[in-house]
Amino acid sequence: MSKDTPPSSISRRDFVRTGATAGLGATALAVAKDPVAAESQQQAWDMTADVVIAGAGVSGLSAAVEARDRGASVIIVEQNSDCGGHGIVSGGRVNLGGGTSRQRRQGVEDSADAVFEYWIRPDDLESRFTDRDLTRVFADLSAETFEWMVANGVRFEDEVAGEDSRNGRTLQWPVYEELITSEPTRRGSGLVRALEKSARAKGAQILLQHSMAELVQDPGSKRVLGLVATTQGRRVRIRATGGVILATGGHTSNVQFRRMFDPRLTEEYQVAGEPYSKQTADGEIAAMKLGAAVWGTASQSMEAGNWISKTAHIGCQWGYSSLHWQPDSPIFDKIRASGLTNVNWQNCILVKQTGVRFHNEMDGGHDFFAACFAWSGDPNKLNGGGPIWAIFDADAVARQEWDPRPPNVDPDGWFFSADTLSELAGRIRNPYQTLRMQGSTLQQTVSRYNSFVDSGTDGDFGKPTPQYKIQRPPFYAAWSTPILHDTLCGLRVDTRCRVIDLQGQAIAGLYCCGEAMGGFPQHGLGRCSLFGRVAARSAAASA
Amino acid sequence: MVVTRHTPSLRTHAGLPAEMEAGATASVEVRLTCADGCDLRGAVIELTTPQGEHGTCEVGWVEDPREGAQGANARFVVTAPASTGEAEWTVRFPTQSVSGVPHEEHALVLESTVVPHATSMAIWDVPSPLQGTEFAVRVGVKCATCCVLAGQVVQVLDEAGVVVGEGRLGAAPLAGTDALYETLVALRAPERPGMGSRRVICVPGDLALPHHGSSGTFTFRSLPPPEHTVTVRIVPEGTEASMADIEVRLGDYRAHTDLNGVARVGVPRGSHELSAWRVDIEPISSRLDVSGDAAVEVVAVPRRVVDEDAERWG
Ligand SMILES: Cc1cc2nc3c(=O)[nH]c(=O)nc-3n(C[C@H](O)[C@H](O)[C@H](O)COP(=O)(O)OP(=O)(O)OC[C@H]3O[C@@H](n4cnc5c(N)ncnc54)[C@H](O)[C@@H]3O)c2cc1C
Ligand SMILES: [Zn+2]
Ligand SMILES: [Zn+2]
Repeated sequence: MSKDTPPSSISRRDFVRTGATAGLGATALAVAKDPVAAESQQQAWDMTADVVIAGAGVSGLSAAVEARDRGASVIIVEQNSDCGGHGIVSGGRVNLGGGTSRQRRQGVEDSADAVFEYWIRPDDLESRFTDRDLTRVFADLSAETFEWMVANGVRFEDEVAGEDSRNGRTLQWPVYEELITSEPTRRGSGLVRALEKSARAKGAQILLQHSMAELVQDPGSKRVLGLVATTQGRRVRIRATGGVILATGGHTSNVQFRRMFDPRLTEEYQVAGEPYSKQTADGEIAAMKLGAAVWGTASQSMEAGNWISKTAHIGCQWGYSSLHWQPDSPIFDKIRASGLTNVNWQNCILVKQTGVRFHNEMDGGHDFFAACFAWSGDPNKLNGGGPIWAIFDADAVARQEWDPRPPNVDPDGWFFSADTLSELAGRIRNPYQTLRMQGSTLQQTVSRYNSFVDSGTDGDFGKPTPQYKIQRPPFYAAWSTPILHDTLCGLRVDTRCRVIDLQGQAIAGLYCCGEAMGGFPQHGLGRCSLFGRVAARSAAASA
Repeated sequence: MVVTRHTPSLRTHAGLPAEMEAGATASVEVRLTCADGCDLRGAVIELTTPQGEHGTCEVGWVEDPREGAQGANARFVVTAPASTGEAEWTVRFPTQSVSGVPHEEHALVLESTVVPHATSMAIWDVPSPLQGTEFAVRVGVKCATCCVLAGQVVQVLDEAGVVVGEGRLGAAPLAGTDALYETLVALRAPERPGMGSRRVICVPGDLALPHHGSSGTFTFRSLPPPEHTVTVRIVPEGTEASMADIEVRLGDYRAHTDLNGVARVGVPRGSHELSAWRVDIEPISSRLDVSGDAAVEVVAVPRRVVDEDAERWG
């Protein structure tokens, strides 16, 4: 794609046909009489709606429903071949509270003020860095958003929430809906599909396989007039009379972007939620080109919150703990392997790409992650820690009751086996393995570890009472590099979700919500949906 | 009339690998061109091996993406000799007429260093023997190119370098491995309790092809004899699963549970860490002071499935 491609010249007939096939409501086709219309008339638009949303994840779908409820016409462009984004593979725990009908029924006392105070606590890392203006919005709309979800067809399981269930961290699981992965814990699909159904029923138009490429700004007034999407090599210009809502998810999949906040997060770190959908910071980048500020960046590197996980399934590319991909997934061709699961880390050691141990394998906290990110010894790669491999033997396989064959493991770069440790080291090849692991090094590492099993004490890293030697052939190496998760900072917005620039001024016609938005780093679905609604209200109001 | 002779040339893109293991094969492609642009298909080139054997090969015509065009190519498979060191293969285009035009001789020398096969070792089934008693370890040796290593000798050396045990690799590779030949080596634990370390070496000999030796080390802990019996019963809670055949450890002393979930572990007096684990239960761990025969019950609860999405409420 090139920047200076002329605006596509779709004829009036094509335009009408596009509109008709897609079922655009009358609002979308009506010629607006406001100044925006006057400005944008110079350019050829292929489609028009009051509110144009980039991304059909939980935030984008919530925005669509809310915008339709307020009478605005809606077009969503979604680059994936289906809706849902990370939400569809999520656990689905919806963190909303503040006095919902369900909390009341269960006798749980909660209030908007309690939610607010909880989310601004200075003694807790996750709430320490929040933007309190946005936190207040979250607190005030939290209960209402829960009721709104129910009204829009989201069915929740009726677990008793209990004491822990206040302050916008309520245990509210939607009913599991469908098979993206057959793990029954992936209940986010219930939330996503209900919102999608509601959005479609209310007349939102969802253009799948349409990727927002850039925003269109009026050169004079600087107002955002719409966006350009690409689909199958074609550019589609979509006008937004009320505004464009960026709901593209966060930036976790974008290596260059994520390294702004933490230079250690180089390319070897995979992302939970992939390969279903990617969060490539498209929204952030498009807005930053127009001068938008990023916000709440301390939350991204606070070493708390759900931004990274130790793998729980090893020997596959995507081993996020609560997402155990099964072969019956419709996208298993992309996933390739489920991973060996339920790892008891007494059964393995973890080594760097050089074959040396680096930390107590039983740990899974931030000291562990920091050790993973520590320099692997490659003089040509000083940032990032390189691949982490779990090394184990045939006895461990028996104890764990693993079957180390496809589709449980991915021998195409993520899992290796050999008769001896020395040969195992020599076989390890992976796109991110920048050094060859030396057989002698791995052999020495394991001999030393085995001596710790004899002595009962890990003299190097303090693993509590190392239990099992790694000795019986064959030997295995399984990908165990930590996996990245949520984005916890993003574009600066005000309490109406208007995107704010570096001068502190709102960029007219531009809104943001979900993981692409900074300032309220709560894990996931609750805040994404809630701020999607806020963005939609604002955009619809200015249509 | 002066007969002009054309000058052909032979070259390779990659040559041979810098090192080849004895007996290993490598394929090599040579490209034949004539400065005058003749079609050299059907010409014959000769190959002389390091052992002085000759062979011939007819030049074919293949698509060569690196050349971006078709051209006259010959492809050989060469076998590294059994003797190690520098080895040379000569590819020669002998003087010959192609399409009636005489072409001069041209030769190309391909080199590689022939190295012995790498071998590597695994040592397993290392117990924690009682002091002063016989024990045995398994040693396996594997050639990187899967040669038959049956009958090769492995030796176990103590800390002073004295050979304290010996074995010969068995006839067939260990089941489940590609070519790991194994043997059991009988050893004796020191008279005193404590950590010991042994080195194992294997230098293959009498094989058709040369091999590097391999070595490994293992440690073990020789234990004082047990004085008391601790009867450990594993009591399931919240699970119907049988508690049979779970390994129960009291420090280095181990036993497996019977059908009733009971294990009898002999231990010396003192403080021991009691541990047990199976994939379907949460790890069991506690401290036990033993001063006589004792019976304890420990509770096994089903493995807790961690749903991080549920744990982390954000
Ligand atoms: C495995 C997993 C488990 C989780 N579990 C929970 C949980 O239990 N509870 C919880 O609260 N949260 C959970 N989360 C987090 C939660 O799912 C996300 O925070 C939330 O779904 C993000 O929503 P979003 O709409 O902001 O972004 P996304 O879901 O990332 O959606 C963004 C959408 O935009 C599309 N897109 C991106 N770029 C473009 C472009 N240029 N043009 C067009 N479309 C584009 C993407 O394809 C995607 O569909 C989990 C996340 C994962 C990955
Ligand atoms: Zn010629
Ligand atoms: Zn060999």
